[in-house]
Amino acid sequence: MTTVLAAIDAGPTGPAVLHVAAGLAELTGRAALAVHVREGDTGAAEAAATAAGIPLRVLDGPVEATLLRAVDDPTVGLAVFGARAVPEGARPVGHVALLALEHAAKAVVIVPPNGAGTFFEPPVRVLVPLEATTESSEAVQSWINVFCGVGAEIVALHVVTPRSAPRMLDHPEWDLPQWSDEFIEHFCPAAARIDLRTGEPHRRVAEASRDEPVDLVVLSWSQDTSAGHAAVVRAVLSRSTTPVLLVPVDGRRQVLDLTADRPATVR
Amino acid sequence: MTADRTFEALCCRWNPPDACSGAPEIRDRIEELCTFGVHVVVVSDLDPAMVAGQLLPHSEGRGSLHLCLPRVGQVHEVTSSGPSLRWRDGCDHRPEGYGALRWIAGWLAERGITGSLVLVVGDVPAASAAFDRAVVVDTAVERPRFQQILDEQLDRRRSGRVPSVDADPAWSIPLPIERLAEGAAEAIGTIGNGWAASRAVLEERVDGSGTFLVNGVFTGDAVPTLVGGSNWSSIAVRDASTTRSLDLRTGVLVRESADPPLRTFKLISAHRPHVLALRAEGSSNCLLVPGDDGATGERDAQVTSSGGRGGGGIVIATADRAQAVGDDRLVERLGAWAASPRGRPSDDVVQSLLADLEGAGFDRILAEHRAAWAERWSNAAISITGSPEDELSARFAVFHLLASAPDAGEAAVGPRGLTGPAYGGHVFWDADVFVLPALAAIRPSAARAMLEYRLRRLPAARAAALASGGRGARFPWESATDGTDVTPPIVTLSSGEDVLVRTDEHEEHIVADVAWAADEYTRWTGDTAFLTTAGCDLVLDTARWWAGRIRVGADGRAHLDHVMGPDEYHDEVDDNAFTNVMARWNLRRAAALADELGIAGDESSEWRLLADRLVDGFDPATGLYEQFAGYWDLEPLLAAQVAEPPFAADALLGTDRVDRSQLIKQPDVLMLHHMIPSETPPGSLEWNLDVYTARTTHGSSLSPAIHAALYARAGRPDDALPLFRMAARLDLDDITGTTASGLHLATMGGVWQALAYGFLGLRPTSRALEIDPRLPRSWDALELGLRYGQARARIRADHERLHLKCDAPVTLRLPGGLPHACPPPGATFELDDPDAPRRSP
Repeated sequence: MTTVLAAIDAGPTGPAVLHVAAGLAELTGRAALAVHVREGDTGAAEAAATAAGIPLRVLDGPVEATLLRAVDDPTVGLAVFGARAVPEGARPVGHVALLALEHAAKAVVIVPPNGAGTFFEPPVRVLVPLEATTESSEAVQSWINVFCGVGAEIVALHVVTPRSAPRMLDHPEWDLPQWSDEFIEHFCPAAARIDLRTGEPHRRVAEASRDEPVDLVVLSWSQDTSAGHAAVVRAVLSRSTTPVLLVPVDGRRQVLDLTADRPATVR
Repeated sequence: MTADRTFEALCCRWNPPDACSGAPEIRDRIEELCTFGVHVVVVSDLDPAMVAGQLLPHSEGRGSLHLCLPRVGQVHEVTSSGPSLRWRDGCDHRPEGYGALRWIAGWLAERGITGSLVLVVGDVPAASAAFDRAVVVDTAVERPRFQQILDEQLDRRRSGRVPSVDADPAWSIPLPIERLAEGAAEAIGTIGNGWAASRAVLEERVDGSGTFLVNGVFTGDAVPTLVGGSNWSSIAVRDASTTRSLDLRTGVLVRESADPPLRTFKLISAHRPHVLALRAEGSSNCLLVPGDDGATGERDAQVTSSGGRGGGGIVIATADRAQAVGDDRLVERLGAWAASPRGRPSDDVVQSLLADLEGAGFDRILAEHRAAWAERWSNAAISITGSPEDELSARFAVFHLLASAPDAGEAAVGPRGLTGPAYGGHVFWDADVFVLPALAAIRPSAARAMLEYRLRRLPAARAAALASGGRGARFPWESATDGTDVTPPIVTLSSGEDVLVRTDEHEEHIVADVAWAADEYTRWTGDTAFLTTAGCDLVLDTARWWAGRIRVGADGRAHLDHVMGPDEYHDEVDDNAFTNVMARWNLRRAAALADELGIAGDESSEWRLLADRLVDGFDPATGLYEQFAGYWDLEPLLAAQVAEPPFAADALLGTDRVDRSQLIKQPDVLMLHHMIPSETPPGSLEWNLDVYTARTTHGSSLSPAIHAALYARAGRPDDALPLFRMAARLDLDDITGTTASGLHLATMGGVWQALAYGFLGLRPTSRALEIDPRLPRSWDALELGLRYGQARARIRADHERLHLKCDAPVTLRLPGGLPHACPPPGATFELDDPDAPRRSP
């Protein structure tokens, strides 16, 4: 059984990250494990982990490389990071979380500041923004199956673009439900319904992530944060008040050379 | 090559010292094949009496035995009373008897037997040439080989093996095989006869309810929908792949799987409207016969029913006969259905129908069905020389048109016909404006049944007019059983959002559309009695509605406020050009009809006066119509500035944004140039075509075909072709993403109209059939079969000539010419330089 890894530092987001990790672990039948890379006093991290009832491993080594190695451990199925310290932070996510997002070969959950909320209180509702490509839909499919398997309600979200728009709607009141059903069948068969919106995708998805009463947002992405890419991910991470599960699309991950770093030690 | 095929016709040579002549074992086999419905043609150089004496006359054969004598150019049918002359060549000499054999080939084709359903045996080169794509066994065949072939054919029939189809790529539609396209495949492969239809559900599908639909049978809900009958073709099949094809020529659906072996073949009889038939054969580990895994024999009739409870109902009865043949299993199922728009028929009705089938048997039902489809196609032929792909997609459209409406009683034709549940099967303007004109030309009796649907709902339309403070008849935007408006007031989208529907309030042009359809029917069919008897109220009462509905302003001009045109992006406008001009046409047509009926008076004078006063938004200075009052003041957004058409602008931009722009969903002003060009100023098509096309998103499936027709009429057939193809492949490529819920039947009507009204430039009038072909450069020729007046006609145009074949006189009128009476068998005309500018509508 793989574990849900909660990466915590000494900052204020630790309890929220642990809370989300514990909730996800319970929901998916996995074990939760907290990790903390020693940079000084580990007391705050240990206290938070103890309070959450999650075992803690304190790691030694460079923070980024050590955490990435921990995330890459094959026993880890999912990693949870805090986004940033405060909602008003200048960047959507801190640099350590960003590195994990860009380079991890597995799904990473980003917990926004104050984003734990009433996480995973039934009925669990998961929002899945879709861009209407098979590749991106397939990337999140296994996670959707996991959440479906525990009775979560899947709500698909699609912001209509010139590329994805229905080509013809003779009478929207008749045709749009049919088109939506076809869309769901093609891209997210587990969805109970679909929320169609118009406008700029990054704004509309971010609005939905902020406003909709959901427990988790599931997004696939290319792990490419260069200019002109990942606008939706950036916007969602900036505005979401809900944890965001980001699933890398296979084959697009950036490879980070970790060989120069010394191995991490585990206490 | 021939062992695993079923031939419906055998053509063999019979001359001493040929190996097969005179042998009793051959004669016996031919005799028996005839009893199974096979048509046997014997080609001989002998005296007919001598050959007939050698051949046993078939006694109760459902097939036929024909004697073809090429040397003397004669065809005799051999019956128990001897040979009787069926056809004699009028020419003194035909090399190799080509004419006689061609006649035989044509006779078989009229029974749906063509191509690979014909086996030619022996040294019969002329027969090989006459039977296109026939399977030919070499002349050197000896008696044992011929006998072996006959034995194979007899064995197949004795054991009830699955028949073959003429797998002609020009007539066969392979269904999509991808899992996610299964819904679309079910719709594309729908088989039907106009009264009823079955989607192409896989036999093993257990949740097949709702896949059998009957014309005009709706639920009793507040917003009724078509009652869904059960999957009558359900059979236990496991582990079979799904290669299916729809044979357009004969209206059968065939499924084949190589590993494990499985073949199924099913039809809804075009000859016996209430009859269903299926045969299946497969390996014992794939096809499980009904009852239990290995059972054989007959199974008691199974009866299923649907609907009722305040609405219509459907009852289906089926009876199976199963048997094992070696490692294979065979299942033959005959079925009967009955339905009622009010209540559920009793089981006794279908049991009785089923009992009647016992004497007929599958082979006869198949033969009748093939012949019925051949007869349908004889009035609806399509040939596009130079583009097999366009020809096939056009035939696909016409096939479903021919299967969309019954040819008796009344026909409630919804936007998706009987190919799916979309729109609840409600009847919209799609029926009157898009489907009916095509059927008026290729299946007039079905068009008449569509008009009967409107006629029988005149009382409801009159009541609706009265209820809204008007007079005459106001036909509803959506109707079902009783003719009241069944437009859903609110529709809940998948997102949970409720959408208010207002088409029923504002899309009043349907009132004039109904009148126009009645008039168009009479112009194609020459059935003028329709409008001077029962049908006259479709024109008169609709005119009365407009007369009461029109507001005359202080300026003395007449207006129609708060309406919606075909472009539904702008949902409540004043003086929509299409609505106003259609109303004007309706008023004038009614006034003329009143003259014909001898009832002209103050009322018809008022109609003419109002018609003359109606504003139409046309500006002579620019040559443009304004789509509605204030349209030019909207944001001048062009479709290409948003996305590449087709796209649904309302879904992409939102309804409010689109409402404030000049984007339109489909032809609105331009529908006038398509439907009633005589009501539009000469030369106005070109100007309006350019302006409005730039603003058209083609966000409606009704749009591309009409634009194609208009581009052809504007002398730009090459520009028309991509739009024609978009329409013709709309469902084959599932362009809308909604094909799974049913085929876009109105688009298919538009496809036919693009071919007839557009590329051939046909326009039926009371005095002549106007014609002005404009073919795309990539097409060598276009040929359509149709009925005009009393004549069955074939019209073929290439880039230089026009050919008319007809069996009754047809008056044609070419551009700028006088009407030209063409007696049978037809005439040929030289066409003008196709690049020369033509007079526009």
